Amino acid sequence: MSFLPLLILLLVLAAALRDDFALTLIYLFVGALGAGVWWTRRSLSRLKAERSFNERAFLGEKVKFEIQVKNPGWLPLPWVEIQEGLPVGLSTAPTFARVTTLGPKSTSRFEYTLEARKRGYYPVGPLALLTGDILGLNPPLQKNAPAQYLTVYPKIIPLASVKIPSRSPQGTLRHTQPLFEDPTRVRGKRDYVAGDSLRRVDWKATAATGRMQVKMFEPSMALETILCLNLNEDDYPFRQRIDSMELAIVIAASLAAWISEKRQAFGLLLNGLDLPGGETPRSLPPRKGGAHLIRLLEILARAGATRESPFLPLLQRQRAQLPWGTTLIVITGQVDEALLTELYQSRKAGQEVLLIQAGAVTYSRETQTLAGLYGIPLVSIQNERGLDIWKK
Amino acid sequence: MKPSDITPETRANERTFRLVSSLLAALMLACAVATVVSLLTRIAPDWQPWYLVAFCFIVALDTFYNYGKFKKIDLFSLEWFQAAGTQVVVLLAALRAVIGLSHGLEAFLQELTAGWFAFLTSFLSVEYLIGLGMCVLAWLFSLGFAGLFDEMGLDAELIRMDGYAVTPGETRPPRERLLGLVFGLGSALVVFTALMRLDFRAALGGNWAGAALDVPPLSNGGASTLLYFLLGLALFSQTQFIDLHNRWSINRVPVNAAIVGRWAFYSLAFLVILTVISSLLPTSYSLGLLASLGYALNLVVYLLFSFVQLLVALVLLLFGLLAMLFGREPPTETPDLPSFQPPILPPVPVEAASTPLPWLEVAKSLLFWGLFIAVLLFALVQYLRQHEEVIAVLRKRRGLAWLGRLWDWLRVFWQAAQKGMAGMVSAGLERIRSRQSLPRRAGGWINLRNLDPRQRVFFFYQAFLRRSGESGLPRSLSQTPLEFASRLDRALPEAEPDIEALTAAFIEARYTPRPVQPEKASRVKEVWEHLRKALRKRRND
Repeated sequence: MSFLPLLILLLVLAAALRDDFALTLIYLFVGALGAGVWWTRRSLSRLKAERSFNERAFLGEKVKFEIQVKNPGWLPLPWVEIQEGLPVGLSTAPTFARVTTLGPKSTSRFEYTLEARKRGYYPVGPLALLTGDILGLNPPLQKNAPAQYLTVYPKIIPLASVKIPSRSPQGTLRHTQPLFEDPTRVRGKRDYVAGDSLRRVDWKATAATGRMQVKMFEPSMALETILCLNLNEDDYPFRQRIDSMELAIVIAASLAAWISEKRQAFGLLLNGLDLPGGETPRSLPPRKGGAHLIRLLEILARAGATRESPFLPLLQRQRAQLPWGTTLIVITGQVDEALLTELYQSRKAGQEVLLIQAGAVTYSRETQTLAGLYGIPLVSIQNERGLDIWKK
Repeated sequence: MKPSDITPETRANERTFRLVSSLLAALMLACAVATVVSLLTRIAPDWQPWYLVAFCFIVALDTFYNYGKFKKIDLFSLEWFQAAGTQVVVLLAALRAVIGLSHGLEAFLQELTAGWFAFLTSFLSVEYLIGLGMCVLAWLFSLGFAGLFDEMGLDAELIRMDGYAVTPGETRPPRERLLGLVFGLGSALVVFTALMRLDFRAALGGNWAGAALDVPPLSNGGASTLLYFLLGLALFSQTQFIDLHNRWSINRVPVNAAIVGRWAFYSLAFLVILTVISSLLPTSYSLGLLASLGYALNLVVYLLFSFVQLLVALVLLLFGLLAMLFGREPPTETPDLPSFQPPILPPVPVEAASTPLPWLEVAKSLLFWGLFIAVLLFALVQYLRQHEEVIAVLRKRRGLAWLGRLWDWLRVFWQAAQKGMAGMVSAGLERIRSRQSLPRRAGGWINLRNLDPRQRVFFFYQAFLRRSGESGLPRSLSQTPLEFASRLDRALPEAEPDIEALTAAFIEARYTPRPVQPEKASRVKEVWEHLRKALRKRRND
């Protein structure tokens, strides 16, 4: 405050001499300072900033952000500096910054684009608006608009045929075992033989042919699947931990998309962290539909690894609550005997199991042998190209 | 960025900045010289050296113009001595010529034609030495200004070079030093101006009451000092822009091109408005502080009392009308209320007594003292805000700790009052706006076009709830939207994606502050159309 001594001098002169000149100067200085403070505070308090963008994006998509800064008042703003914090994972520059001037009742718009190059849940912002008085006698003032979040879904690799075991009857998928015949899918008719149920008799065909005819049904199955994703860091080999876990997430997302395409119900069970809050991610019960798939992809987009959430206890707790015939697709890094034992118990309880080992695998042959002993199908996928086995 | 990448526009801006800043500083120095000359003419009324104002202005301009050239020459080198020597000789000769010409052409020619001894003695006159002193001062101040401009307006080439960074130095930033220089010189001018408004004979004779001369505010150096400060404020605005522009350039922040023109316009408008308001505010008073306060208090009490009297009269009138209903005559006489006299205008001093409107003098005094106290408080608050250590020292002193507490209390009280007032005003405005912005209903129907996207999402969800109820799927009061959606999913499995989408859109619109885009509201409408068909089908079945 360089002019405080001058102001005191002027006040003394004004009081001692009752001088008009000194008072006019006092008004000039205090007016310049006070009006500057008032102008800046009032304009800034009325200033509105909005950020609009598509909050969800698929991998590789370009997301356009539009920032709109609006001055709804009559007071102009000689300068406004806009600084938007950008997510490190999606941008090389730490901020998006621009300087503009806003007249009365005017709006400025700015655009920038980010490429969704990595799965995640990214904070965009906060948006800082900085302005000050035109004479620079007061320090600038700042106002912040809160951050918003961009969800980048994990990569989805389109699959053609995945052989997932199922014991659940009466579904929409064709099955080879005649055990699960579907009375809504009539395959043909044949002559009645002793022992056939009267419920199978096709009375119309019997009347038309004059011989007892029974309906033959197509066997079918329902594929109610739970994707069990292990994101416990210790269960993945140290050197390829990040890549292996990302691959596990890609596998889960691709399988979910395939099952959804087949109009079957699917759910998700996972450990790890929900990245924004650091809480345990929520699991999804089996449901059908595109909206359910989007929910699942959002959970996968936000999922992060942890060491404090072991996978096996979670599987033990949840498995007991799943209905008979459910298929468990377990996606994990390392496979040990404890996990195989648990999965064996699942099979005994009437659930089907498919074990997928994601990423660089150690002792794969021994693991294969062990899984074979337990009767659990094991697929090892070391990289994204490994998913080609299900593309044919 | 290479130096060649700098646009001609940037270079033109840089040149304009230097030119305008130099011109403003030269004019300020000319104003300062005018104040000093005013003082000199008061000391020696026969001497009127007003030509010094123009001469010092030219000296200042010359200094600004040659500053860049001198900077490139090594100090005390032969080239430097040649350039500086030439300038000094020209300056001395020109000043002598101007002083000689100020006495008339003939007198100057006589001086020139006199002998060399007579010329030498008249050359070094008191008038010349004072003029020379002022020129040297103007030159020194110009050098100071030019150096600060140079520090502030760094070369565009230097700023835009890759890897350029400003390292925080130990010295104060140049703009702060510029403020110090302007206010320091301004303080000296204020003292000179005040001296010109004093009757020294009366003051030395002990007559302090008559020591202050009653002169118009713009005479006796007042106009030049006032103009000096106005130009100073214009210079602050100019340097503030350059300071900010440099920061943005260093950080490579793109700047809107319109900012340059608007900055100049807003600065000019701000200074003009400020000058007009400052000149209109009262600068004199007829009543003392206590008399003004007493009068203001009396006026408030009088207004309150009048209000109470009005209320009582209204109540009595109401009772009188009620009495008429029961066939009684209304009271013709109202009870005597204690009378209260309006505040009597205090006696106005003799010089103001001739004014036909004494209340105007009282109002002016009230306004003056109000402004005076506001200025004092403002200065104190600003000082304490920027010197927190003073409060800390006060808190530690035993006897003065209450001052610190008083400051805290005042700050909290002020903040709360400000917040409360702002809250009340904004709530009132919001209420008025909400009344104005309510969608108009024609014949009991909501006009969808008048609803914003968020309200449209609410509308479709409400319609969905109503149709569900009509189809035998009512929502119970205890059900959350998600619970209701899962119940409907079971009842209408084919419409599950639509139910999920509508519920998600409603939850987002209702429970998050995120803006709802019009496209989203349109999508919700489509979803609602599907659901309506599904619900209708279920109802018909």
